[in-house]
Amino acid sequence: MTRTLLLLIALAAVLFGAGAVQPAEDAPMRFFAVEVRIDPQGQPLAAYQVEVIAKGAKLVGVEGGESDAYATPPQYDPAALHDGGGERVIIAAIGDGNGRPTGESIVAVLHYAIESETDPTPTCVLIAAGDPQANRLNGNCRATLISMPTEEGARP
Amino acid sequence: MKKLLTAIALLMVIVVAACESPERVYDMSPTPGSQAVPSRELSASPRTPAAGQRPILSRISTIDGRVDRGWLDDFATSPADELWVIVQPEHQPLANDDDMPRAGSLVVPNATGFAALPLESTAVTANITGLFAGVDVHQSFVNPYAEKIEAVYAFPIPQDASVTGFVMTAGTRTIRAVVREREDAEKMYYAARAAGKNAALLTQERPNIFTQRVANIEPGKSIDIDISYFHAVTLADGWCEWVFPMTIAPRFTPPSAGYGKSIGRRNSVQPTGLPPITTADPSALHRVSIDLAINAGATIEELGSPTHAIARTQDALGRWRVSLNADAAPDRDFILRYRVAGSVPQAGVALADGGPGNDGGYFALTLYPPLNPAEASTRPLEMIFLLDRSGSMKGSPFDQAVAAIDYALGQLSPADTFQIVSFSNDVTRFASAPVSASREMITQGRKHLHDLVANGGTMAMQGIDSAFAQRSDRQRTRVVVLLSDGQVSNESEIIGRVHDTAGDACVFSFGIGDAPNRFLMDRIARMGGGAAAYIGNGMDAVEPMRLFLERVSTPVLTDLRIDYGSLAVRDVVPDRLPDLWLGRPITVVGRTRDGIGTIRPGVVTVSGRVNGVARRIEIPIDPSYASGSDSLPNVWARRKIMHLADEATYRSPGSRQREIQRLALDFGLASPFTAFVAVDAMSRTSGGHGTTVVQPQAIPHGTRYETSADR
Repeated sequence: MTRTLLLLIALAAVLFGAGAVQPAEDAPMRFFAVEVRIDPQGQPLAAYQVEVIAKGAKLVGVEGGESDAYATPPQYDPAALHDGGGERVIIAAIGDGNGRPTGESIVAVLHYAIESETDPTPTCVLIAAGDPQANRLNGNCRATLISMPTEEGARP
Repeated sequence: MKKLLTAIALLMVIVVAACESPERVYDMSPTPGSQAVPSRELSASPRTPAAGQRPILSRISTIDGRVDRGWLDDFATSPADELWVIVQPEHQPLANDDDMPRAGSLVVPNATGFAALPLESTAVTANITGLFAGVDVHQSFVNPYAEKIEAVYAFPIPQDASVTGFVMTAGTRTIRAVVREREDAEKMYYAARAAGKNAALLTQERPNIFTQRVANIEPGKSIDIDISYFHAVTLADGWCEWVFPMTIAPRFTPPSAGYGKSIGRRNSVQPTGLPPITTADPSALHRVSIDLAINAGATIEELGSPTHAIARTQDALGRWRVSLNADAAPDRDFILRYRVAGSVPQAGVALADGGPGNDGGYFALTLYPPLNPAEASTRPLEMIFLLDRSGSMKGSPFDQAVAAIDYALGQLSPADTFQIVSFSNDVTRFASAPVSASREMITQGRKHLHDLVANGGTMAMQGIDSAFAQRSDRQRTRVVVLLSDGQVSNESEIIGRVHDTAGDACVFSFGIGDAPNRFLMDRIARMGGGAAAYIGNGMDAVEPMRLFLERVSTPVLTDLRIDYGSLAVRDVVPDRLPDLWLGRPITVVGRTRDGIGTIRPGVVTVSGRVNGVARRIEIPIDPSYASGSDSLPNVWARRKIMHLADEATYRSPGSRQREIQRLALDFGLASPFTAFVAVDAMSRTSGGHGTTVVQPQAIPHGTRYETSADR
């Protein structure tokens, strides 16, 4: 009898478990964006490479910046993204001749997905920046989280 | 006790079934302004909306993946009739769920067929430099309906192409997709879709078939998708060939393949991952434009397209610009052929740095056979013709295949032997074993050939087994020639079987029709150490066969070996070298331990045999003349992935998944285990995720729906 009950419980666990498994899409997931700004300190920004880390988040898209020179989405390093578990991305772009910014401007917007209720604090490191003559620029960068959407994550 | 257990189990099943997501049917009554309400009844009347109004969706789900006029007529009667429909649950099944039929296709019927499917246009821009083509495909998805939609579109690309970019533009925002593990990418996409975000997903269903999903296209708005890929231009018999595939032909699924359940009125369906087929006029689906620039690096002597009317111009530097005379209907592959002047180099090595990390470099070695060899093989042939006589071959494709074999029979010498094996629902043989190519046997063989009829399914595995089961004749070179359109879904099984059973045979494949399965035909030939050729509808079938016979009788080099000398190499693909056939170059790619800056000049030696006599070719290595091609690392990665996928085919499915995934992620490439995903986190559309609209494929030109999609 005990064996029979155990078998029935196991069978019930299998049947109910199979029916109750939540598809991956039911896990709470939110989306947010991070603006990446570079200040070339008065020099025309002709090219850049930056590293952005947003702990706990996963990159889902890379968008261009606000100036005409960087309107095209930058390239990203896929190996670095993979090695960093999706939290770390290295982006780079060469600015079009028209409208190279000389002051602080948004060069890229990164789109992320996150399954945590805690907002991440993105960090940014300017790996390299150059002027039109290929001289290295002493600029700085910062990453700013754009206001988080208030709706809860996805439910099918 | 048994009865009690059975009753309890049955009760549990009933309880579990009752807990499943309820299916809901919305009453999308074609009355402007009506609200969607849950209802178990739906009247489906193909009513044309008033002028200026967007079409109202009538929610009709297909139950067998077919979308054709006759099927709609069976259902669409009058508003007074009741229509029970089957609607997919809110949770959209993943594209690679083998157990899900293709439910949920939406169409807007009108008097002439289908109105306003979301894919509005496809614009192709390609640049050919040397032997590599970089291609950009720009597609516009427009929502012509009164409610939000998700557009789904499966499309073909060349089977050796590397998809390197996927960009979504929604309104003023352009977002580059990132490559992620496939499960992750799908999870993110469906979450974004449910949250009302503009999102796009690109997944690989086959090496030559991808699926795009574009979510939350609001009424009257559009989302543009740009896909970038590159691949090698095919060089054969002195001609370069660039192909842009435009449609996916229906595939037969044998009952044993396990690629999906049988539903509907037939035993075979389009398996999961392949789009539904429509008999609508292809020109009504969407239009395709092509703009191609060619910098071959040498003078182009002849240039043309056997499939489409083209316009061409040449600049002062000898570079060509080619475009279609008019936008094309997506019912046949576009093929461009051109011949480059000058003597073909015997062999060449290209070197490049790059790729992820700073871990050495990459190389590509190409062997070009001479066009007119001084020596030729003199060994007699054992020719086995393997002919596809399934329903999809009916008509012009079958006639062409028969004509090609008929010609080949007439070219055999009495010292040769031949056999004819054909397959559809069953397998037939001309004789129990290969017979001498005497005049009498050739006559009988031709009679047998011309008595064959194309109809039925495509039991290709049985045909292959029969062809390779012939006992090998050690005095002759065994050549198996497959003539087929390749329209089957169990490609992996077939490729694996050829690999396991080809033995000493050389396998050549002829792809027939305007949209053959080039992935399958190329792979079969590669597994068999041979080559593939293609015969389009309306093309001369004899010339490709004539060239093939010339090639078969003249292998330039067999038993190839490569000594790389001081060049330290690893991860070389292919690891097993095929024979070098007349007119067909061989390219070997791999990695070098050192980068270009530290490689020393040296010599690579290729050795082989012609008629048993040893031959050597020495290729100098000079890093100062390295090509430095940016695409070489990705070329290697793509070929490595293809090699691993082939190994998984004939070893065990899934055995190479982790390696393939790692490579694809490191190089940012699409693969069976990775996907591109793009989400506009700042977008927010109202309502739920909308309705899914699946863009069907047109029947390829020259293919009959009744004998191919309806088998």
